[in-house]
Amino acid sequence: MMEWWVLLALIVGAFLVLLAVGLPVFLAFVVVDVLGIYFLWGGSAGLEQLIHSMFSSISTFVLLPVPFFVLMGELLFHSGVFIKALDTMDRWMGRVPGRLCLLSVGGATLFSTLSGSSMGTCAMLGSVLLPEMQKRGYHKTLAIGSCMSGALAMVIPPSALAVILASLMEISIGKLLISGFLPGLVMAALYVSYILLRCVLQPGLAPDYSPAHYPWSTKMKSFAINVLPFGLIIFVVTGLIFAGIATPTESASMGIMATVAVVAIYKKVSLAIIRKSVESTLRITVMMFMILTGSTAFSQILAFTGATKGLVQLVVSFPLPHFTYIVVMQGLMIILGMFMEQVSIMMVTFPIFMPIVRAFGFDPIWFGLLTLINMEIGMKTPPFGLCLFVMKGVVPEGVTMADVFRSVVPFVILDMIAMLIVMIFPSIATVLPNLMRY
Amino acid sequence: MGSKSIFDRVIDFMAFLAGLLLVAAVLIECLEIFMRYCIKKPQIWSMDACEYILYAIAFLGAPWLLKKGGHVSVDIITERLSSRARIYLGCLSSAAGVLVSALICWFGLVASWDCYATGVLVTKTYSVPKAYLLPFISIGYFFLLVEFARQFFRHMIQLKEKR
Repeated sequence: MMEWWVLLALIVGAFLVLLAVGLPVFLAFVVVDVLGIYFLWGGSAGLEQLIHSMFSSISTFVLLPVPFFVLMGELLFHSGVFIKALDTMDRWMGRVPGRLCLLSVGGATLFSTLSGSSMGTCAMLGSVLLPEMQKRGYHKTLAIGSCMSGALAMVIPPSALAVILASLMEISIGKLLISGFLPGLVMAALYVSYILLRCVLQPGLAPDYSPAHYPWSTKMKSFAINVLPFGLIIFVVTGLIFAGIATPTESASMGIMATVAVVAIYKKVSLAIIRKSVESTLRITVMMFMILTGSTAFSQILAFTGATKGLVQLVVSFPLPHFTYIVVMQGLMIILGMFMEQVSIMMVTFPIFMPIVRAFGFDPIWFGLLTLINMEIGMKTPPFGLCLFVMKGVVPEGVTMADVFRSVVPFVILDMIAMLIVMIFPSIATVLPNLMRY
Repeated sequence: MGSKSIFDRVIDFMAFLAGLLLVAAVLIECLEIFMRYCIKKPQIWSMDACEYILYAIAFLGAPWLLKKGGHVSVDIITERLSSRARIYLGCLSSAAGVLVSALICWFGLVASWDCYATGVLVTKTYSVPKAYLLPFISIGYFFLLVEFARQFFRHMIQLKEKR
């Protein structure tokens, strides 16, 4: 057999070429699988193994929260019940610089605790808040950038991607989910500080206006009616996982029940809304699962050729400080995030990264969380960031893709700062999971 | 295009089935929680059922998603090319789709038949013959093949029009 590095270069090279010529990602994986298996695993007998690998890759219980977490967000989005919560937050906010941008970050953070899909959160914020910001004369890049904070849903629990990542890393799904809570808040705080600073220094970016004044009684009533019910969803999902009462799958199903209950409170349950939500969930789930069916065999081939082991041994043999490897691995994923979709990045890199993480004794929860922030960055780094396309789909007319690209730059830098903070202070990620009993 | 072709109908029906299965998974899990915590009679079949549903959803929904253009691909290079080059690459990509789908569809059938002939079981809480489960891959990939073939012919027509 060829040297492992030749095989690695051939396999990864072929995959990247197939991606570059525009093959759907799942198909690019399957083409490499078929070729790799045919030449390495002895012809057609190997191809039968590919079928078995496809079957076992997704018929696993641990992935069940993925569609459930997405469905929760879609139900809240399509029923439009969250708009009232945004309205209430708006009433509570006084006259602050860049208030609609701050509202957007606040809304993103709250919605992220209810939904597992970044794309849905970005779409909702963009479609609801951007027209209002445009009307008030907000600068478009700051306005769009603040709506992109919807990508936080990938870090703050519940997160569909955290479920896939934890099952791939073979670590506790519940702990990885919970670990995203504090770092998510840190990221939101960084966004808020940046928006405040920019708007104080350049007031023209977000023209000041006097919001309508509401008495405390109205504010309290509005909070109780429009925001408090969402607490039920946060409690049954994040609360029950944290308390160790429910498994992620159980809490995800209860999360859907709670979501339907909340939507029902607002009398918004209808067959049309359920149908739309299921359809959107199906789109995201099928897209991710088809990639998983192809990429599982891809990782198996990498392992079979000895490429994984060879690369890990090579990396470990360099006399570099261990911390450098974390920076290099995360840096590599940021670069890949510019061009590739999240699940495929994880499937290509983790068979190699995970043994390195174990060999150096890093906390896998901490590394997993850093990866989640990284994937969140990948959702919004040009040219290929799924949230960018979603946002382009909902921005008012006249806003170009270049505007959307420009708008995310400061927020991507803030995300990187957040990553550095979590790298230097790992306890931000690990303190909550360490408090969990299971 | 007034009426839908038979393939469109089947592909849409498969996606509808996938949607129903997703809702079924939600209901099964909710029922399970009720049975486990309220009546203290956990239903051991629910976990198996949900696992098979997850698997079926992907392959039932994949052709529909391809039709809708929902499978992610990277277009940063292709969008910079001339429209003719783009069509050529489109032909190439859909031809690769046809070939690979045909292979997976066929080997899915072979694997299913082997499992049937040798009586292979998927042993979870209950044992289920694997031959009943594997054909979802072949069904999914057969309709992916149909959809890729249609894409291929659309590209060919575009190419002819360019000449």
